[in-house]
Amino acid sequence: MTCNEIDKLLKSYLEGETSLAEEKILRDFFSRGDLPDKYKPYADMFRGFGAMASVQLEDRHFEKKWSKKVKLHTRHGRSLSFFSQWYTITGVAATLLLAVVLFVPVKKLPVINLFSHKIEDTFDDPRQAYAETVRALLIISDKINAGTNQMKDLEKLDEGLEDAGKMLTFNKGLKDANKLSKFSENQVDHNNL
Amino acid sequence: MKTQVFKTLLLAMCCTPLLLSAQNNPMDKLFQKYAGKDCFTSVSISRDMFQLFAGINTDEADKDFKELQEMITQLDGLKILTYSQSDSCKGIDFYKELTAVYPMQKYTELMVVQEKDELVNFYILKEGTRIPELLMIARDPGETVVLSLTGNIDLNYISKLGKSMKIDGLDNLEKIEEEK
Amino acid sequence: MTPQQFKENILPLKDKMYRFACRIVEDTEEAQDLVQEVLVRLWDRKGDIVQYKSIEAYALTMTRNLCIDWLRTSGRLLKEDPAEMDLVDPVTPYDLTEFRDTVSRINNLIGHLPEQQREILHLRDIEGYDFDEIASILGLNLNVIRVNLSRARKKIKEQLVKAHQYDLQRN
Repeated sequence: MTCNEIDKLLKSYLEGETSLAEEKILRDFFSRGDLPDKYKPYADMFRGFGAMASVQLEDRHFEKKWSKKVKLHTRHGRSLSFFSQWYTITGVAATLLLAVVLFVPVKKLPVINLFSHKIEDTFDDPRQAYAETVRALLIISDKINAGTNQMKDLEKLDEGLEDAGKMLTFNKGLKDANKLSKFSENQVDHNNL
Repeated sequence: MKTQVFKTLLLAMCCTPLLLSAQNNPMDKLFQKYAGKDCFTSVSISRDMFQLFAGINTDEADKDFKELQEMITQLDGLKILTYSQSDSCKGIDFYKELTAVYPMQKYTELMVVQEKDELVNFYILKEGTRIPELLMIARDPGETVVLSLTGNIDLNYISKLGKSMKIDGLDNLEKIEEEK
Repeated sequence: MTPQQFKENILPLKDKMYRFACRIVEDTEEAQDLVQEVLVRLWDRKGDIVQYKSIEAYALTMTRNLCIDWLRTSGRLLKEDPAEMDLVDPVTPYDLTEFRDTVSRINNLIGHLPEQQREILHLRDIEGYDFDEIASILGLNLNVIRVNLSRARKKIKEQLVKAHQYDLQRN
């Protein structure tokens, strides 16, 4: 590999246009000891990156700690503990809200009345909100599926149903609006909540 | 955790007088009454936020992901209120309050799931073929969770979503350790 | 995913996750805890994991999210104004000579890059991911990645050139 070719590669490297293979050529080239002085900064750069790539999480008890955590986490309750994680998040949200409340001048208090009609979003980062939504959906889904899998519980429901078979094909059945509305009318009558 | 409790307490003190005006949605009522209070944690995600999801990861070609995104953008709101019992808030029968605030006769009980000492009830609101609200109430001895999902809810899809997700829990973990 | 598969495929990602976490939170101890947390959450979802196109990318995305959450809750997240992003914290060549070895020099330079450039440079030049993988980890499009990678590389190079000249003058 001539210096000319290397210079050319370096140029496209700086433009973010080199492929991974080309970057490997550069890395190999700069790992040599006998480089012209002008390449010193590049050599530093590539060697530095290489050294950083070999950093490892050095903790002999890592796996043990981890499995302990998982156990604790699981024991806490498979589903409800998931809600507890929101402590931290809601704590932050609470502080934010508090800041809003504290820094709104008294004169502008009607503003806060407006705010009382609209409950503040817990998250301001859509990604975070998205992740939490998906998690909530998965929990609901998991419970619903647990329910449909548990025949015992289905029997309870069947009492309120005209046709037990419909419930067994619960997922498909839900698409069917007619069945569902019958189901509903029936339930309202029996509902003693 | 202590600072958290402190924060929420402070917030409660600051906000409760302001938050007492009437609300038509039962979940909003509950939020007004309890969000930020000791022993309560709340999560609220609004329609605006759901709309923002549409913009996430537009390069993603994953069909499942698109489906999920589409479903979520149909939602109007997600609200979760969790009551965890502790010494500082004994004597609140949150479930009782909950069922008092919710006009339960309007809801259809979808199913009851009992798992160990946890009891989960699902209710839906119906408008023709649409399901504008799904309500989940989960209770175990230490915690009561109420979750309200509003919008255009596709139960079939939600159920499908978790089909592949089976948490194997403790048993498998034990196995991992034995394998060491 | 079975526990065995999890152990074989996911746990070994811990070093990559750790390096990425270090890059974001710049605190080795915290990075270790965060990696633990990510792995706990991944375990919870191991049944679901097979669906993700690239588990590795998913693990890193999760690492990043948790790191950012942590920065936010601990009040360390600096608000970055995109317009000023290229101007923040210029490192003087003199600062650089303070670091005796090359690695800590470069580490410091990367640390002074704007968040996005830092993450992109790390994933590409240290971890060797292709652009598609970086795109799925960071949720960015390819062009943004290329542009920011180029900026980051140029900045690091310029600073190193300056530092090199400074070293030469001094000796």
